[in-house]
Amino acid sequence: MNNSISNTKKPKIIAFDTSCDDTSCAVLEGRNVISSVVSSQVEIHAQWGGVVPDIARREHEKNIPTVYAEALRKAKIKIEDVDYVACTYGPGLAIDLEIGLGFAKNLAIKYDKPFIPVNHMEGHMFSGLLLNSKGSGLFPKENLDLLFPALGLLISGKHTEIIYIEKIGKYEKLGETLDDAVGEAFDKVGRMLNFGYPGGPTLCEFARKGKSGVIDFPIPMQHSNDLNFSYSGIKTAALYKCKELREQYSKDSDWSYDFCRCFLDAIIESIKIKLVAAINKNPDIKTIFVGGGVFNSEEIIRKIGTIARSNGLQYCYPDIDYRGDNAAMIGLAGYFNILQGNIIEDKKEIEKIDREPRLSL
Amino acid sequence: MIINIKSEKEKSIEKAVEVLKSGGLIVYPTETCYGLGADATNPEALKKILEYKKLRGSKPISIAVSDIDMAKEYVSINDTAENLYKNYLPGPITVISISKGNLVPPVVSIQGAVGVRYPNYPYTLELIKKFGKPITATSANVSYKPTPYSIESLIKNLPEKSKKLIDLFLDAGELPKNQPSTVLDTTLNQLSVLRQGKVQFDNALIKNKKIEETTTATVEETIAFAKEFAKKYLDSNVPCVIALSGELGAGKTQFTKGIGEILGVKEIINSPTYTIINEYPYETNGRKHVLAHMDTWRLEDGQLDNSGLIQHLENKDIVVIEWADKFYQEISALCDNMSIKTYKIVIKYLSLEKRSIEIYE
Repeated sequence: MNNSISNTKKPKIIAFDTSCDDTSCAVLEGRNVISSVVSSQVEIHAQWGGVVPDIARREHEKNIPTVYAEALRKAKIKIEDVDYVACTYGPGLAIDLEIGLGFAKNLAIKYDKPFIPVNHMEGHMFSGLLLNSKGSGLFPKENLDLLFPALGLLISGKHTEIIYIEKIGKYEKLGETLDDAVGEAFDKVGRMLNFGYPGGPTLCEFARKGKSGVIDFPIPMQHSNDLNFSYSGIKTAALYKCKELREQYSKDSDWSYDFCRCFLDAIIESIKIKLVAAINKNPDIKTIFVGGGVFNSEEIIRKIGTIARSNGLQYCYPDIDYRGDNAAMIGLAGYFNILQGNIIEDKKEIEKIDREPRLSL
Repeated sequence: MIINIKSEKEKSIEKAVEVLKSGGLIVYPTETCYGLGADATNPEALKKILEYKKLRGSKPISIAVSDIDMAKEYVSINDTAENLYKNYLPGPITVISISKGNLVPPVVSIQGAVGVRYPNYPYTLELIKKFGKPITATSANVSYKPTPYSIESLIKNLPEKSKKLIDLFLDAGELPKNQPSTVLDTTLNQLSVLRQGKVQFDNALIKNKKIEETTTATVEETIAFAKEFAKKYLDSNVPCVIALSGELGAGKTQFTKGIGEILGVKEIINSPTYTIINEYPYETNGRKHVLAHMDTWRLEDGQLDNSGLIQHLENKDIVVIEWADKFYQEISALCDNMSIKTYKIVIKYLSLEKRSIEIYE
């Protein structure tokens, strides 16, 4: 990476993300997060949160001015003092992306700031490189060259993919899901067990109390020779197992802990098989980068870390605050784009930027 | 005062109820550890709890009930919570539900959520039942001190000030060293809207003409059947809606893959559950088109209008909708108003692999 500006003042970036359920805004100074606000968390100070219903969370148009003001207030900064505006332009739902993009573009034009359109997935991939406001984190050193080439493993409700990262800005997708994403499989199987929505976190919680190896699940795609994933088959298998066990036992608690354990084991094994295959096919890599909401599971983040370390690789994973969708990671990817000169200054060009719902790395 | 509950069961319960009624504090056994109890509806008693625990920040305190009926007096039990009570309780799980408004902080969070414990400890259940109201359920240790499994070790780690606040220790000897309870949030539950409008959908089908039906034995056969359907009925220049209905894992996304292949979509078509609408550009005879692949699984009542569906219909795209049953009336009305042709596809499980597929016009 080009470090020509490492000795000068780090740029201040304001970033937005409205690609899915949450409206978020963050202020960064280089890789340092000065403030990060996510709509679903605005009211959530207590340990028990999450009462903000989905229907309200998705109202980006209503949320964005509040979230924007809150991010500036927490960062103790005025918009005039920000150097760049960054925003997700894909992938995501078109109608959601448009709201964030429209707001951010207007801001850049109104206050005469250069604009950086950001790929949401690039944000997730490098979310482990975010530093706190004081500059501490997993990889606080300015020079990141020693981390590359690397592999990126992105797992969320929407994505399950493996990326070859030659260096920051140069990517090749090695494999992806052919149907459902891992997070989606968790939530849908959680639904079968009546865990409500999202059921994934409850499923992982229950798995902690279950026994391994007592219920057979097929390991998805273990014999395919590529690096793609597929989770629709195991979903069907789970549906049938669930019906069978319900007939056999009187209470769900008689079997569901083991069910969750064995289901989670099968999913982790499927990820492991593909990740190890990708590592073996790319012996030049030095680091595994992970990102996405599924890494909210401590067990998954730990087990992938074990794979990385046992292969002699560095492991770059996000702090708990940056695993789900957030704007801090968008600001970070924006910063990397600044370092590479990928910024748009011409106001007419900024106006022309359109959302790309199917954007890929 | 310490009473052994094994040798003096009746007397200890009587004494405990007396203490609770007068706003005092008790230490009582549960299946996880010793808990600190006070009348959860008495603000003065709750103040004492906070004084005892010290340094708690804004973390709420759970309540313990003697049965689901008592829980229902204080919190709203939704489908997810009902499932947990029915299948897993009494047991070491704290179920978070929304308060009915008759409790005050610290047993209610800022968002109005309450953590409810229904402990699997018969003595304690009997005690709460006698008292007739919920009691607080927080571990009896002072913040940052070890989890108490015996009265002896608890007292050893107790500051004099806190010790004085306890009116009664109910001693059940050394408790097994079980993990603290699993905390499950049921307030995010969206189950109610996931109930399908199946009746409407099936009724609607009666009025429609069945144009194709088949049985498939593999995923490949399902895709092949979708390809036949697309070849015979779809034209890139004629907008239409393909409404898919079928259980989790039935093959709705697989069917869409077949349609995409015939239209000329080059990308991998995967599940749109999280994005809500995925857009796939393709070309026929040099003309650019978009296949819109939609999923209503996560949409709630009233959200269809803001999903982007209307924009795709206005653009005259071919739109495939998974879980179309949920919004069947709305979709059907939209298509009628805009004179857009609709196909309904019903996929049913016959066995783990086999599916029946019916197509209606």
